[in-house]
Amino acid sequence: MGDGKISQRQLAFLFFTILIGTMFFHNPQIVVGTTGQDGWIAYLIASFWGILVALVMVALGQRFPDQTLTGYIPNILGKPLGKILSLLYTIWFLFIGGGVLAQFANFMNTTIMASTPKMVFIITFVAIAYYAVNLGLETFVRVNELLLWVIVIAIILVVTLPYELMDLRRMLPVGQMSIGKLVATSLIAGSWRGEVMLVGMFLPALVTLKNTTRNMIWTVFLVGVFMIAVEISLVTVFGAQIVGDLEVPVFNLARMISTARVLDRVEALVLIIWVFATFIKICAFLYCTARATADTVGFQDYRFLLLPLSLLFTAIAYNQTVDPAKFVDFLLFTWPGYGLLSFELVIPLFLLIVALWRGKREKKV
Amino acid sequence: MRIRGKVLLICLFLGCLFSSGCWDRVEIEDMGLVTLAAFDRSEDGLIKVSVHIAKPFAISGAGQDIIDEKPFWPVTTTGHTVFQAIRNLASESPRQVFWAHCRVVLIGERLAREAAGMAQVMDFFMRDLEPRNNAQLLVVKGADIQEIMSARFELERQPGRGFEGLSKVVEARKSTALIPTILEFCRELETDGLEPVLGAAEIVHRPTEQPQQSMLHETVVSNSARISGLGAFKGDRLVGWLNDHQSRGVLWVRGKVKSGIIVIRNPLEENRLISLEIGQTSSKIIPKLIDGRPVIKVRIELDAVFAQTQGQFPLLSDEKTWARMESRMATAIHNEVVSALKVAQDELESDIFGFGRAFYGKYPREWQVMKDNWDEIFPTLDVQVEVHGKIVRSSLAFRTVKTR
Repeated sequence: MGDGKISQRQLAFLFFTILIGTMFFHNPQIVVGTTGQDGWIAYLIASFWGILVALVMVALGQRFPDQTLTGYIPNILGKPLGKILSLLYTIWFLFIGGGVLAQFANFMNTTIMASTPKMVFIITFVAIAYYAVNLGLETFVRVNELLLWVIVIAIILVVTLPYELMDLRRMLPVGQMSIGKLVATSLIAGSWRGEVMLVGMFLPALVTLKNTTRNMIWTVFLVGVFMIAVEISLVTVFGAQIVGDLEVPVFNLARMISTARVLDRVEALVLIIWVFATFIKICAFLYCTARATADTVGFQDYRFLLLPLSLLFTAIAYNQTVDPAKFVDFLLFTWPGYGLLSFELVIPLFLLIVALWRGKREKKV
Repeated sequence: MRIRGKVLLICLFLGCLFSSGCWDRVEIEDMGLVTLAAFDRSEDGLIKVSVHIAKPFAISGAGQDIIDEKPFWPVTTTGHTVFQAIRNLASESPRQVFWAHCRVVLIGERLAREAAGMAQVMDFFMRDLEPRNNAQLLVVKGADIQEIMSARFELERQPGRGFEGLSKVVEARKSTALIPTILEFCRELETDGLEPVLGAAEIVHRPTEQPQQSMLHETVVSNSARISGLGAFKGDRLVGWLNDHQSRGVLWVRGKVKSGIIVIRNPLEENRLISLEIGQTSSKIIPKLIDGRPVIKVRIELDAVFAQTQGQFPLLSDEKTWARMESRMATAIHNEVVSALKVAQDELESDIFGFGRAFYGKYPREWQVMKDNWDEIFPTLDVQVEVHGKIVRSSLAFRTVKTR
């Protein structure tokens, strides 16, 4: 079983899941909590950041079509510095991946399974992800092709079914927030969207790089459209104030659904979204961490690293599970600096500028 | 390969046996379902919670004899906090109390009049996982919650269902009360320039009848409950009561009138009355700033049906009389709104209409200045009410019944 190639379509699908996966849950509360009913403007600006990240990453990838991000960083910056940055990226993948898993475990604890130990969720997920990634990149990318439809349909249902409770007047007045606040909030929302940065690890697996730029821009933009729909649905149902008060507003949204008193209490939809999306995200982050480790250390194969890295994922996810309030604090004040303003946008942009400056590109073999 | 596939498939289905919810499973027969809950402040300063827990074995199924036993168990506990009081139910209830089926929540007057009294109950309902925040909320007028929890409805075996049905029917057929869900109430609490209102539940004392020895078994209903008017809040504190007349005035402005009866004098015979049934309605609050002074215009539009008359029925061709009836209807509604305004502005000083919210929507920048002294502006706010009513149908009768 070789590491098969993936198509443009598969890449776009994969990133749709990665981007919307966790964003769907904690993000609306933070964005609406800080910018009120104008949250959708913050999402629009965040789309811009996401598109910028995608442009930078694909531009870098086109200069080094056969290497991953962590593979070509030393080529751009030179050995010692480049290796250090590659290592930092490896650690970043590990921590964000662990964070995604920690969020999931927290969510299960706060919503439906209050007394089940977190370790149960974490170990189950890491075990499945290990199994999937061990079968190669192609495997979980193709699984995602199936799961994405379920995720998309579930999101559409959750967002549209409470239509009886919606009141568009709750979106008024528009434009209450200052530009500064909107941009600051968009940095938080953009840090989720900036996870499109992971594309740097997947580009070499593509059959062709043609149209990648266009596809990634569309993916980021579509995720933005979905998030705006989520935001509008939440605000029109609950009102901006209440959305800001809630821990996981989409969960409460699903609880509100009672269509014709037949389709009632469909929280399971939200769980489906979160279980599927978390699975794909963990696979992607595990894959990225393994690839990055192999690149940094200089191994050809990454597969034998999966088992020790899975254990590391488990440990990190378990230790990252904190009190939800602290977690929101992290998302508000740390995450933008950790995401968009460093690893997702600023460093890749810096790399691109250096690569252009020094005229670095892959030597033709 | 095929055998392996089958084995895998079987394993997959066997997996279902273990997926019963891990550590969090609760068997249905270990749960006590709350059908109605009430909160109040007890005399000794504690939070008192009173609930009805469904008795599944007393709810008769189809084809069985009706079991002569009330299908719920009323139980009351107290505690220093809302949640402590609720958890204290555990020392009296042999089944784990489960809140997801509680559709109606009553709040005692004493607790509602306290500062932060409502807020602490709302916090429980918004924060905890079990209760649904689309349960309906009522405030109890002039009675102890234990008394109102003893109210029975002849048409429903579970009083919880009784209150739920009552709320729906009052809103839809009479429109003299607004029964918000917990979520809606919280939203109103948090909205600037809008004070919440809650439907008021009142006890109806009935003389206790002795069960008679007869063929038909007669259940004795001693007390019942009704919903009459609204409790008006300022912030989360109950500040006063509105009667049915005034309550519908509030609902007119808020655009929540769905149906109801308007009584006017018959233009043809001044001492006889006519009933009009409200049909389609709409209302709009139009805020204006005239030389920086806030002015509100309320525009109400409605269609009504000529429903019943005591006297003559005007000829359909008699346009002048119909126009007079329409203007009398408009005056009647105008009076309802004005009486509500008078109470809200003079006595309660609470913006239960949402005029402030309307200003925020249209003049967000000016509202930022106004909002700090809205409490002083509101009582003297100039409100113009404009009613445009049409009588669109006279239902099935072409003329009225005539006595020879």
